[in-house]
Amino acid sequence: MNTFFLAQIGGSLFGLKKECVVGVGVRDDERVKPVEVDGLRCLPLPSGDQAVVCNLQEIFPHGEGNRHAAQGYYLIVTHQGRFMAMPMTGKGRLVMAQETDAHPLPPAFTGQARRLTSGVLVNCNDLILLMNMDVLLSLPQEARGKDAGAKSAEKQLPDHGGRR
Amino acid sequence: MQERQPSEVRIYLLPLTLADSEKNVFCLFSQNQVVEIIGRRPVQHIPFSPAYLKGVVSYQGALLPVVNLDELCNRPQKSGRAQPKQLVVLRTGAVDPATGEPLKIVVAASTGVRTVKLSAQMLADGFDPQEPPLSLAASGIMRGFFQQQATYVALVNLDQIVLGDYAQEVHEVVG
Repeated sequence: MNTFFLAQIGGSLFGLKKECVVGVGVRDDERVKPVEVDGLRCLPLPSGDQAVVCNLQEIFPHGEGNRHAAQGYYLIVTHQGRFMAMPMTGKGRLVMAQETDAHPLPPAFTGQARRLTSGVLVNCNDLILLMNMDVLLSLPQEARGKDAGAKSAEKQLPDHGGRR
Repeated sequence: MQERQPSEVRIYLLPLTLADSEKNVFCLFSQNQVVEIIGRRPVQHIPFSPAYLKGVVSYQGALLPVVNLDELCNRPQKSGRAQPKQLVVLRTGAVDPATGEPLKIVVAASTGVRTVKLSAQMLADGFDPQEPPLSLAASGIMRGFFQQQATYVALVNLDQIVLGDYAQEVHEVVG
C-alpha cells in the first residue's frame, strides 16, 4: 500500500506521494510574502529554500473545476531538490491506496495530458489524478516560457496593429 | 404485449448544436453502437486535454473518455461548462493498442437523446444524402450526412478520437 496526499485544486482531486509533500501552509501573502526569483513567484520556506508558486487552477486550460472555491492553503511539494507551492482548497488529507490499482488514462488523451497524469485511482465516486512529479514541477518554467514567447511576439508586431 | 417487428431497427439520435446551421441536426447511433445511456455523473477533467474531451468517467471498472461533439464541431467557439444531461456509452471499432481490448467512448449530451424505431426499409430508403454544414464537414469525424423530412442526421466515426490520433492531428493543425 502507498500513502498519498490528496489535494483539492479547482474541483479536481490530485494525489501526490506522501514522500513528496513537505507540508501545508496557510496562504496569507501578508504573513509570508512571495518574492520574485528569475521571473518566478517564489515562497520562502523556513528551511531557506524557495518554493515556486504554481496555481494549477490558472495554468490548466479548459478546466471545468470550481474556479470560485477559495484556495486558502499552500501545498508544498518537493522532487529532486526542487520545491513548489500549489494553492489548494482545504488542508488536504492522506489516503492509503495501492498504486498498482491506478488506471492508465484512455488512449484518447495524449501529449502533455498523458505526461502529467500518470494514472487515475477510483475511490467510489472520486477519481484521483496521480501526478508525474517531474512534469508537475516543470510547469511553472513552461508557463513562464510561453508567457515570454507571447510577449516577445507582441513586441515584434509592427505599429499598425500587427497587419501585414 | 406488443411484439417488435423483425424488420424494425432502433436508432439513437443525439442532438447536435452547430454554430453555422439552424437545422435540426442529430448524430445517429445504431443499437449495436450504444452500450448504455446513463444519467448525470461526475466527469473528471484531465488537465491539458483538448476542450472537446471533457474528461473521464469510471464505467464498469474501466475509465472511459468523455467527448462533447458540439465543442468538437464548433472548435473556435468558447468552451461550455454545462454539465451533460446524459452520457451515451458507445462501442467503437477501435482496440486499445496496448491491451487489444475493444475501446468504448462516452458522448456527452446536453439535451436528451431520442430513441426512434424505424423500419429497415425506411432506414435504407428514407434518408437522402445532403451537403453537410461546414463545421461538421471540417470536424474530420463525419462519415455521412442525410436528410429525412425536417431532420438531418450525421454519421460519425469516433475511432480516431478514442485512439488519440484525433487530438494529435488537432494539435498539429492548431499548434
